Parts: sequence; C-alpha cells; structure tokens
Amino acid sequence: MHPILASRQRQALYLASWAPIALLLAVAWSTASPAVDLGAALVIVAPPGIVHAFVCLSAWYVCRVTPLAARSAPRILAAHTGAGMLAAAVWMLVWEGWTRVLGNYPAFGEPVRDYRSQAAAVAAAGVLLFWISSLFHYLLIAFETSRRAETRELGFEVMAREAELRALRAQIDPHFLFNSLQSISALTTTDPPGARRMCLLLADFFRSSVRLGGKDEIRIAEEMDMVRAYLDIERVRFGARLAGEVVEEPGCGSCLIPPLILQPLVENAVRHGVHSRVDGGAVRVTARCDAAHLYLSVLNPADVDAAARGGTGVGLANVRQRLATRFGGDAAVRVVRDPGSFRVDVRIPRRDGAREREP
Amino acid sequence: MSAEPRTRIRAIVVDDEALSRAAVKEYAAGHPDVEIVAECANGFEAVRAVNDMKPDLVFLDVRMPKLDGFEVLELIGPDAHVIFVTAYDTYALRAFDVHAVDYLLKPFGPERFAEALHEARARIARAERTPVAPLVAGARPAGAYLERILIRSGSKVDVIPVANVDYVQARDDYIGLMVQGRERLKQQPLGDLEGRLDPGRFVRIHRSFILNLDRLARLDLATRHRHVAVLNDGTELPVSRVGYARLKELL
Repeated sequence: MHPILASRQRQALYLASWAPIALLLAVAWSTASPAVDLGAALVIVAPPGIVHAFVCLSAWYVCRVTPLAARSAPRILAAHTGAGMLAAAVWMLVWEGWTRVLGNYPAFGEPVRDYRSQAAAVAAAGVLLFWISSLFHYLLIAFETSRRAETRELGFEVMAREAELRALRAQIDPHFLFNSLQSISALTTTDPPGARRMCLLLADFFRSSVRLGGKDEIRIAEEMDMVRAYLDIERVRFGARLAGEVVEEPGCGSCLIPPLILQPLVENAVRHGVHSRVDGGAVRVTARCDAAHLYLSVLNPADVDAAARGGTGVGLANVRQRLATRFGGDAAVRVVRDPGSFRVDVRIPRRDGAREREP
Repeated sequence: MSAEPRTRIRAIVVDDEALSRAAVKEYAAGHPDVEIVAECANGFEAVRAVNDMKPDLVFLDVRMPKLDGFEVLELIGPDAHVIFVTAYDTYALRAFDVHAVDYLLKPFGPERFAEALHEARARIARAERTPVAPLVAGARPAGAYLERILIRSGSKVDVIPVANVDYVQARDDYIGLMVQGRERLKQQPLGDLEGRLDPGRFVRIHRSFILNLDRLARLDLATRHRHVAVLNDGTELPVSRVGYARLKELL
C-alpha cells in the first residue's frame, strides 16, 4: 500500500500540496497569454491537476521496482521516461475532455483555443510533474529505509540487553542464598569458625558475581574462580556428597567469554547431579581451546530415571540465548545425555584478552 | 512455654542436608516435650521411618533425592502431622492444600519454630487426623500430570513411571497396575488415579479399566455392539460404550 494513500490525513495533506502547483501553472499561463485571465486558467487547470496528483503517486511503484542502488542508470531512466509518458498521456486525456466540455461556454472560448495552440507545452509540464514526483518518492523511500534500519537495530540492542538482564537475574538464585544462610544459621552454634568461613565465602562469591556480571566480557579464569567459590559454598551444604573439579588447560585462562556463562550450568549440575541424588556426585568443569575456539564443558552424574523427570530449566535456555545473540552461529551449545551422566558442551569463538594479573 | 506437663511428641526430621537437620534438632532441643526419634536424608528413608517409628510429627523438606516432600506426604498419608521446611516459598499454597501444620521458610529462627510447634501440639492434642482425600488430590500442582506412581508396602516404596504401566484395573478398594507383565496393587480409587493421569495418554475405556494408549494395538468388535481393545501383547480388555466414544475422540 502506498504510504500516502494509507491514511486520510496524508491524502488531504498531499492534495493540499498540489494547490500551489496548480496555482503556479495557472499564473504562468495567464501571464504568458494575455487572452487568458487567472480565474479561467484556474478553472481549466484544477480538474487535470487533481487527477494528475493521484497519477503521480504511481511513481512510488516505479521507484520501488527500480531502486537507485540496485539498478543501472539507463534502466532507471528508461523506466521513468516510460512511466512519465504514460502519466502525461492520462493528463492530456483529461485536458482534452475538460476543455471540450468548457468549449461549449463562450466565456472559455478564448482560453480553450489558447490551450490547443500550446498543447505540447502542457504535455511537457505533465511529464515534468511526474518526474518531480519520482524524485520525491525516492527521497521518501530512502527516509523510510533508514528509519526502519534504525528501529531494527534498536530492537536488536534491546533484545540483547534484555537477555543479558534476564540471565543476570537468573544467576543470583535467591534460594542459593537462603540455603546458605540456613547452613550458617546451623553452624553458628555447632561450629562458629565454620559459620564465619561460610560468611566470607558467600561475601566473596557475591562480590565477584556482581563485579563480573557488570562487565561485557571477562577472562575465563575469572569465571572459573567464581565457579570454584560457588562449589566451595555448596560443599558446606552438601558435605561429602559434592565432589567438584574445575580445570582449565594452560594457555586458556585469558580467553574472553561473556560473564556468568558457566555459572548457571554449574548450578544445574549441582541441582541434578548432586542434590537430587542420595549419594551425590562429582561436578566436572573444564575449559580448553584451540586456535579458533574455546571449549567449555560441564559434566555431572544423572540418575537413569531422572531424564524422564525433565527440567533442564531456564538456566540452559538462557545460556543458549545469550550466546546466540552475541555470537550467532559461531557459538554452539550441545547437551549430551548418556545413561548415568549429563554433559553440556559449549563452543565459543576464541578471543584473547590482555594478560592482566589478578588484582 | 507453660508449666503444665504435656504429652511427648515424637518427631522425625527429613532433610537431605545435615546442617539443616542440625538446625531443626537444635531448636527442638529447646522444647523438652519434643523428642527427635529419627533423622532421614531422603524420601525413602522417611517413609521407612514413619512406618517403623510411627512418629507424631514430621519436619519435611520438599526438594530431596528420590522422593520429594509431597510424594512422601502422599505415601505416609494421615499417619503423621507434617511441618514443611524449605527454602522455596513456591510450595506454600500446595502445602496448606494438603493440610500441612505449617510451612517454615529457611532460614528460620527459634521463635518461628516454636510457633509451628505450638500449632502441631494443638493438632496432636485434638487427635486430629489429616483427611486423606484432599491430601492425595492436592499432592500435585494443578495442571501437572502424574509422571510416576508410588506404591508403598510397609516401609518399602516402589516408584513406577507411568509410561511403564500397560493398564490399570479396579479391584475393590485397590487398583491393579499392570507393569511389564506383573500386577502391582495400590490402595486408591480408580477414578482418583484417572483424574491425575494425562488424559491424552491414559483413557478410561471401561468402568474398571484405564488403558495406556501406547499399548493399544487395535479395536475389535466382540459382538454386534461391544468392542474389545487388543493390546500389543495380545491382552484383550473390555471397552464400554462411553469408553469407545472416548477412544474414538482421541484416535
């Protein structure tokens, strides 16, 4: 649908913009031919003008099928010449018809005769007007395109930001905090030094999660340290039931990742691989890299009947989405379900950060 | 606490985290009428302990290995009063639906613990028995279908995934679950089980039968107006007129 025809308000505005054009034509004509007064000229020009206003809107379709960037200049010229001729033919038809009607009135005899002597100039004016309309439409289209690109870009940005925020909110699971506080509460009487140690572990963990979560990307070594802190805290809760191993291959530590990619996966691993099993289990987190990619993997044991109970949950979906918005098809998240174990493999394009030392 | 002598309350603590059990035990030690007679680290142990010890009160965690707190409650039925102890407030409504005495959110202090205990004492003194029917019906969140069926025989619990059930037959007060060629009995009305199974997978084909649709091989005409369902293993089950209409609708 033509953008101007789409709304009544725009149609009215567009027609109004033709009023000065018609007036200009009438003035030009009446000054050029002393036999024609302005009033008669206006009466003659108005109907063809109104029809031509609508005919000129068709330039939009011509502009759309011959975009300036994609078509060669001769083709564009040919298209608009052809369309201009066609529009001028319609314009002349209206002129002919209208002047034939007016010719019956003696008051218009002189102007109509004058028109017949200058028909070629009138036809040229029709073509010219159509071409002006073409230019106007090209401008309109360019405007529209840039506006659309802008909103789309804005939309992407908002989406990515939202995904990040959702992820961060999902990170700091309040139940993790409540359970840890319950442990501290129990330790205060039975093991006061243990309670203090737990407080410090928790403080460290939350401080680093807030610090790292606010960054755009972090070194994998930082994330691995946070995962270690997390497992230390959970080990206070689960005792011997939780075994953990967090290993990064030498040379990988400075690879960059979006923050808190591993954390939700490790939380899942503890929930399904340790908490839901009587004897608990071992969570194994590894990072290795080659020239192009960084490979992360989180492994936990799983009950055979646990698979049916489902609930891999929001964490995994979140990680997937965040990596997809950031890396597109270059990142991959793969879930490997074996009888007795559950593993999530993540592949991220490798980017190395500065080799800064730990503060 | 008042000075009058109270009846002793025998309680068990069910939580997979030792520290969390320790907190409950510590608070309970402040109430001389409460005796913790057992500690359980998972649902199976809890069911066994309730069966063997016949406690008055159970402090029950919700998220545990093997069986969750609600499943434990379903299995022990009205045998004991339950105070839920969990870090998750999402289960609170369900907990009161199943007539839990109270719902303690971790971490909690001794005052809150005393409050819950106060209510438990009152219920135990009134010798109130938790009604069974709402217990069973409420033990599942609305909209979620049963994924596994629990059968308790004494202190032993069997967990049967519903996918393994071929069909269920009504047998007086019991239902018989046909699982891999063996019939397992459970005390539950057939209609109650029907209401909790996914209606897209399990169909009441007869007053006395619920069929797992995956097992259906074909429908045969037994007489002019009576159908029988033939299962993959050749078993034939009667299909009532209403049951036939239900099957037609699904197939």
